[in-house]
Amino acid sequence: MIANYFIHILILVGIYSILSVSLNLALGYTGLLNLGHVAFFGVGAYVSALLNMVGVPFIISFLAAGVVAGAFGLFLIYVSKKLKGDYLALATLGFAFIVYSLLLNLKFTRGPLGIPGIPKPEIFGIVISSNLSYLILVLVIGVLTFLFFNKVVKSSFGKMLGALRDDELNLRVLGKNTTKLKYYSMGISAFFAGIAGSLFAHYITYIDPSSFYMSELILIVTIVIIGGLASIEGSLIGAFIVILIPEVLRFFALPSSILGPMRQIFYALVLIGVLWWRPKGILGKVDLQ
Amino acid sequence: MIKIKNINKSFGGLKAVDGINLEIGKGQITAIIGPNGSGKTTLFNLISGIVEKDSGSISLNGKNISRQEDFQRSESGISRTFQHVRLFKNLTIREHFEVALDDDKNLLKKIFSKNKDSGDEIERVMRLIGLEKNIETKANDLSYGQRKLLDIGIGIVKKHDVLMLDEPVAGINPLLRRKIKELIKVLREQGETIVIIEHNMEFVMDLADRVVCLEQGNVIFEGTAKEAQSSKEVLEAYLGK
Ligand SMILES: Nc1ncnc2c1ncn2[C@@H]1O[C@H](COP(=O)(O)OP(=O)(O)OP(=O)(O)O)[C@@H](O)[C@H]1O
Ligand SMILES: [Mg+2]
Repeated sequence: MIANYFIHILILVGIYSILSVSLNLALGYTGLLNLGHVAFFGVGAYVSALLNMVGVPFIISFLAAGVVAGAFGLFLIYVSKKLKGDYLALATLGFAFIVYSLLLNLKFTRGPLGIPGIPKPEIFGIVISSNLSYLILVLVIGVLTFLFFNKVVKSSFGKMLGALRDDELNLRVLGKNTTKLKYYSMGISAFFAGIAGSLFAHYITYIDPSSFYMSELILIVTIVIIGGLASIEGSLIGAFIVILIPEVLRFFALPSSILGPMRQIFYALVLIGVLWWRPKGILGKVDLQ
Repeated sequence: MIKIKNINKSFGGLKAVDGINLEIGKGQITAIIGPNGSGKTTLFNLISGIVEKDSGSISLNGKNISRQEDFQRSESGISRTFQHVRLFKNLTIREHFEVALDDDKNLLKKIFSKNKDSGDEIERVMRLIGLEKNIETKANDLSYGQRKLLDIGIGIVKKHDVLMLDEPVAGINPLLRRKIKELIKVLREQGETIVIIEHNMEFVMDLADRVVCLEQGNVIFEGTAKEAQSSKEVLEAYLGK
């Protein structure tokens, strides 16, 4: 029972790690103030669930979740490529609202009713039904994601992203097509948010638009800021802290009417505390300003 | 090398660059002088493409570059520095050089290919510019003079045909001034084509092959450094009539 509960928490930590590491690529490494990441998460969840439920194999639904979310990422850069800083933040936030209201109003997403009964993944004939096997699936994908991002940020491509974050004009003057760099960065970032969405949908087996809205957005951004901008390890630690700590509250047998708001207060306190202790986050390496 | 034909740029009602015609010769040092606000930096911005011209044309090695975007002009062979130093503050000295040296346009390939070792090239340019600092130092932790040096350094290592320096010694102590002057002389001996914006006539005297003086967006003088010193127009531009 306790073991199963911990496995459940670890699965969530894994999914949120993928989500926050991928956000960190855009936010911390590239300096794109993206507040629309939660929309890619949602798009991935819906794409994977809907495809899988009409008979598309899990692996293909899973990859499609990444590809479609990635395409949304490219689109977001396309419409906002001239914007910077606060303006980009506002535009991306608007994008998250738009995707949310689409999910809420489109027929095939079933609006606020959401999508129940999403099947557990079936990979080469094996159904991942137990929580333990799901944890292994999340771990495998999580580790691959971590290795990939580690490679990206340490490569010369990653250095270019850092230069773009620090001074876009100067990088252009050095002959680099910064618009193209933004497309790549956001495309990769959104792809991984999409596959995180797929893992989330097939684990929880029920999704509705409210899972991909403000509170989730705040959660992901909090993870990245607590862990630190431009640090992959930081985002992993951030995911642990932000997902685990509120769980401690459960042991105090509080009524759920109090538990909900307590959680939000807890996030805020942890965020303020960490930033007071370390203004760049736990492992943060860069200043955006 | 660079041919500028009748180039114009206004900001609102202000004619910052007002029909300038100019040729920059290969292997020469051209100094652009002129009082504050005379349009020197704007001319650099027009050549490097970070400011859109109103009319006129610019060609580099016979190729019209006026319609290219800023980064494409850089690829075509323009290297420039800024009057107010622009660096990547969270990147180290080494990373600055690596970014400047990297001219592979295939971005995705970069993720998976091994990072090129440009240690020798970096060591060479560090010695050339005389920046005595650990190359793992972040730009944020450099002094003003060191930043100026690094800025010139990345302009040098980036592949280019012409190197444009916007006030490389402004606000710099006399010792470092002399060092940068020597550096520019060495670059000339290596056959570089250099355009340098400088307020101070004295600094460019024994450096420039040619001096161009701007006033209110117009070329009011063109000639050798010696001629510039005795030119009535230049004197008036600086001292007022
Ligand atoms: N982006 C801009 N917007 C509006 N006005 C501008 C802009 N850039 C330059 N100007 C104006 O154009 C004129 C020429 O400016 P520029 O920077 O080219 O002068 P400068 O010769 O480099 O002067 P300094 O020696 O002080 O650096 C100035 O009056 C300046 O205020
Ligand atoms: Mg100037």
